[in-house]
Amino acid sequence: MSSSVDRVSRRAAVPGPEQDDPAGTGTSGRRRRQLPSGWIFVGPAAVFFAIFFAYPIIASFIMSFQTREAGEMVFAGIDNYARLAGDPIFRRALFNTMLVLFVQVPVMLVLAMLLAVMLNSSLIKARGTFRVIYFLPALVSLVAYAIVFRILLNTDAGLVNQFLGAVGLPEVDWLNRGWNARFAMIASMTWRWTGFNMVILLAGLQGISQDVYEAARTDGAGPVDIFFRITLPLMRPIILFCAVLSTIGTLQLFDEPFVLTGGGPSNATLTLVLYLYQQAFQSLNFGYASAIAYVIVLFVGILSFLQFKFLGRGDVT
Amino acid sequence: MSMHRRRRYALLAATALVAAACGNGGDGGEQIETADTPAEDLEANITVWAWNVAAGALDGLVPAFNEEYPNVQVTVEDIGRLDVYDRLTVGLEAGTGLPDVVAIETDRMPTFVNAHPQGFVDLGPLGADEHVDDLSPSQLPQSEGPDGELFSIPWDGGPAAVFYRTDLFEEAGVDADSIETWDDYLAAGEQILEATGTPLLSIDMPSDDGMFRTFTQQQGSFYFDENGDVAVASDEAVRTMTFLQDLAEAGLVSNDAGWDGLVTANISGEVASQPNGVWWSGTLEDEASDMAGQWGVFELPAPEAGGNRASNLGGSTLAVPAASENQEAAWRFVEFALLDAENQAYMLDEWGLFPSYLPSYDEPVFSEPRELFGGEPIFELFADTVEDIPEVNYTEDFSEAQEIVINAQADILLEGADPETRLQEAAELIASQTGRDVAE
Repeated sequence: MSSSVDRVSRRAAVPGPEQDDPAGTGTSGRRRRQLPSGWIFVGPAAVFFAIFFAYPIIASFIMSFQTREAGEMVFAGIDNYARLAGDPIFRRALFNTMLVLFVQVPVMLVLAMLLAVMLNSSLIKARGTFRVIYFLPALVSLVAYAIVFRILLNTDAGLVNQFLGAVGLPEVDWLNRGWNARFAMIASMTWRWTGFNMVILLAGLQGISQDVYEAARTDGAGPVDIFFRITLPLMRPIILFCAVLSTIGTLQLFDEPFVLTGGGPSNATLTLVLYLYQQAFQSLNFGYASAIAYVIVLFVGILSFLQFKFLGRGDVT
Repeated sequence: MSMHRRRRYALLAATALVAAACGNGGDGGEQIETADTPAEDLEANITVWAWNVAAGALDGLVPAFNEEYPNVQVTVEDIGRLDVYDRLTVGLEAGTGLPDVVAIETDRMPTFVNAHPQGFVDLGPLGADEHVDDLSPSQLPQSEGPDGELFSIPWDGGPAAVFYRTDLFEEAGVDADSIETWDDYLAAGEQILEATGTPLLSIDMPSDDGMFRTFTQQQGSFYFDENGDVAVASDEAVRTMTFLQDLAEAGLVSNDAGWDGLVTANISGEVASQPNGVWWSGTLEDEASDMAGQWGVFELPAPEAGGNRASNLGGSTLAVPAASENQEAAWRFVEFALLDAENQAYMLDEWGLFPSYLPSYDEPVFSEPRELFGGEPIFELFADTVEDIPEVNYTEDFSEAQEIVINAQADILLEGADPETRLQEAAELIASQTGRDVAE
């Protein structure tokens, strides 16, 4: 390790002609010759990015300060954001989204981690088959799986209630009661995304050298010690990656509540993005919807920052 | 200057350039002034967006239209209701990419017009003005712009009545003709439930408030009053929600999700009746064609004896986007389809689309017996109610109000919330969301 670090710092300390030249002097002639061919490769992606990412991002930011008057978008200052601050439906959507974030995401990641450790163990036969089985839900179309869950959870004819009835338990009105519907949404999301996270975590586990484990076992460490003192710390960057992905995914949660419950009953499963959709495409309040979008962006930023700060601190290698 | 207007100026400038270059000073897609080109001289290709039976009905009219207008080619695109709205929203925003004629549901029309008052052609001066008195008065206001423009022509209406299963009513010994009030309806429901174990009607409690709208409109009330104030806590609204709660608490309501749930519950006999718009007959005739004679229709029960028994649920309109380059041909097609008694009769007979154009009620189809309904000429019954349907104010905030009322309904019917307090809450929420006042 040390030799490579030395090499890097030595190179940085002695800027030569092949080093970066921010001022554009020195070898600029050669660099300019390379420029056009570079842009030919980067160009399409850059144009694509400008049209389909940069422009909408900027346009919707501007729109979040506008409102519609007599068919024209006019500047409205922070009216949309002020309305958001006092909007009880938005608060309800925020609550529901945060509920998923703080209940579903941790449960799912713990579950995914357990599955990954189990399927990484040489004690289990047919590991490949199990991996495929756990990963399959992530390949199912979002809408298809939400519809299947809606049928499974149907109060009168659903398989879940038929099963409950068969073992002598009372039927549950899954999708028509607030907390039941929230539970149904959380359960279906866990079904779909656990395997996806498991595969990422499994890849991380397989990147840990067996030497480390062997050394630990030689020193007399038990399996619990090994898991908490070696596996978990070494996996922290991977777990961080999964956590950040899941957080962003949760804040953008739309398909499940849209198909499963339509945000109901009585907004119990309304999420931020579903509310954005209602405002934009049902009520045509594009300005207000853009403000919601930027609040979501703000939350993603804050939460990702916090996760990096707390999960990502220190470098274990 | 807003983005929107700047884009339009750019477009206008471009059009002017093209026109100047061609040296013929074409009208460049601006509002046409006359609509008196002889039919056979009119040449255009027009595109129509619609969905489901609406698309089918318009497509079915094309051959007849072409006999009169041989040089106008009509392409009807059946692209699904939600896709029509998505593409229309984007197209209106961009001012391009729109068809020449588009179907829009009556209750959505004010939202689109409010957001894009420049987005549609005012059909009044083109010749629609002279027909205004011939259009169903409860359907017309939703087509009108703020300055009396006519941005669409009401197409099918949804006069409502109660569809019921004659066999189940008979088995329970209930005479449908004797049901005149809500109390009668509820009592009949209890009798049917006891005799057959079948609930009276189906409601999608957490997702649709069709019954609430039908019964409040019947009493001349709606989400908003004539001043645009929020009326969902009006006496009429509270009375309606209380009635629905009474029905639910008596075990007379089956909670069925979505359109499929409603159709299944009715056709498989899981419920004994269904108050609904006249278009429901089309679905029944289509999906329950083997049940001839098992269905009947009676007028909506009134809140109290002698009260109004007419109301409306649903309906749609046809509009011409201002971006259309063939506005005259588009208008002629709309006129041909919607302001012609015979063509309206065809669409009712074949597609179950009930005309808003009053002169068509004299067509033979209205007095023809319908097999499914035991040979009763049911359309006559609906046509007779049309003049009594109260006009109500939908406003551009229809969808926002609807979402909030549906949530109140879920709490009232599923969680036993008190109708009056819950509707008061809903009214205040709608008021704060839309910047309106709560009606006194």
